[in-house]
Amino acid sequence: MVSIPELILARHGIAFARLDHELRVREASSNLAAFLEGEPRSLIGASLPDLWVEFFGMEDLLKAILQGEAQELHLAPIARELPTGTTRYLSFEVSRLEDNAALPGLLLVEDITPYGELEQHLIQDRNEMRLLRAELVRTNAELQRLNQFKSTILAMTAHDLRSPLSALMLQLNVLLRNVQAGQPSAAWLERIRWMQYTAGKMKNLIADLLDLEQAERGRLVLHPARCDLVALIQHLASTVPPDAVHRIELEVPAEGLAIVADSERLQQVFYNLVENALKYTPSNQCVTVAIRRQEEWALVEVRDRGNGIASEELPQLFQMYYRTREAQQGAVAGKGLGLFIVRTLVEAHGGRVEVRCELDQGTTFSVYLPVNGPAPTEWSDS
Amino acid sequence: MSESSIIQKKICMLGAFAVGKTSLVRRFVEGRFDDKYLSTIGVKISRKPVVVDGHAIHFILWDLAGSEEYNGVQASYLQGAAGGIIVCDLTRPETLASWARYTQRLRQTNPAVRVVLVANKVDLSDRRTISDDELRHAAASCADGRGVPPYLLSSAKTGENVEELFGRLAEQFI
Repeated sequence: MVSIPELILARHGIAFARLDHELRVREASSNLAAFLEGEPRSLIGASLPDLWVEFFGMEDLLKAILQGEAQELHLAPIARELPTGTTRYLSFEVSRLEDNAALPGLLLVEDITPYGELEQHLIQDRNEMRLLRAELVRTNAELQRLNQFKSTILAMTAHDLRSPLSALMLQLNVLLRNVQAGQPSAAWLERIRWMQYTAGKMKNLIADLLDLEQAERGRLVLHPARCDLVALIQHLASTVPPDAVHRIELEVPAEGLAIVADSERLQQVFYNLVENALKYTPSNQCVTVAIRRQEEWALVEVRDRGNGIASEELPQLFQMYYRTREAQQGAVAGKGLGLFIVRTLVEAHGGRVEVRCELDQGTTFSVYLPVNGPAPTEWSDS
Repeated sequence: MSESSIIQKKICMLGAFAVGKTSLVRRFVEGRFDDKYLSTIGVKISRKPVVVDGHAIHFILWDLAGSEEYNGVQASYLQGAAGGIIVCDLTRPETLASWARYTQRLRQTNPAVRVVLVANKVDLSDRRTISDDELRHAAASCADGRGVPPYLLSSAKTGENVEELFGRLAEQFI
């Protein structure tokens, strides 16, 4: 016969058991079996941890509770996935009954599914909001960084293009006056060379900026094709300032060196390195560009005769915006982007750049490029 | 293998919310992955037998809620844990701090507990924000008298290192 208290508890989805000192069930409400998992089992005489895995490992704590040496234990919510795909939420509570020395333990098991579902929805919504907010913060920071980058590019473009453009216009005006004055065409050659150099400088600057922007977005695309590295360097040597052409020393194999590469990008790489080398080399000395093959690599070395770079500055040398102390002190113009672009483009080709120097002995940049070109994945997504 | 040689171990899965604890358990126990995020509240218990070097171990996996609402009750949940798998999300740097925090909490309740540290979601390489150095440093901060706990990069989505991380824990019980 079911007691009135038991009826009331059952109506509220609560079952109970009374436990002895050894955690065995000695009395149980008729609805307790409904809270077991798996096959139906006999409750009376069974140990609590054997009936519910939730209590596995907690035997010492449970015995301490029954002896009055620890506070009651409350495990809730315990989520159980049902075969129907829904989740049932349970609450387990073990406490000590002061008035019964033989059966000191009371287990209450309660089905709290409605509360559990409500709480799950609330926490789900809140966690999703938190994830969205974190995503927004990250996106906002990235947008700010990109905005800053665009501003830098714009400022650089305006500043760095204005000087060569002014020089170009000046040369054009002089040339025009010479033509109008009937000066012989042989005298135009020097001015045209300067104009060609200045236009080339602007073209390289724009190419650098475009590559910088593509590299920032991770969308640098190469267009590799077979080309002669020696011919490429020889052409480059002819595009330096007219008064510096005689300062370029080439040490190249007579038979040339064929490689697979994006020749436009390699022009940028070596233009940046040679221009840098000329900036740091006294005007009465030469810059050396040496090319040779090392197994499956084409090695290009660009050596200046400058003051060299302090060893502690070398690790930062290829970072964006990094400028050496010597450059910062105003001796050499620049924005600290050339070497970053060099490394980005060489690595996009599957190559590497190394630098070595000794103070007062000049600096040598060594560019290693795979003779057979970049791996296919590096062509489109470097 | 005789029934008497089977040992049972309670293992707690710990870490911040949405790092992939439930997905790791589902991948390990059921061999599947579900892209939908469903917050765990309280605890969900699963069982999984494993065999290591001829020894059968029954893991009782406690997948604990990562939300801070449950930090108060987790102390009782951690009772009797023999092992802990502490998970962070490689795309959320703020979740890495949980490695040291939960390792400490587990050891406070169970001094002999064995720990494996996990950096999950390695498949999301383009969104990764925690470096190898940061992982190494965070793992070193969890060292105890037995040394630095093992740590692995995992993906519940692809299954990468999921069996291994539970295996690394099981090895410590043999």
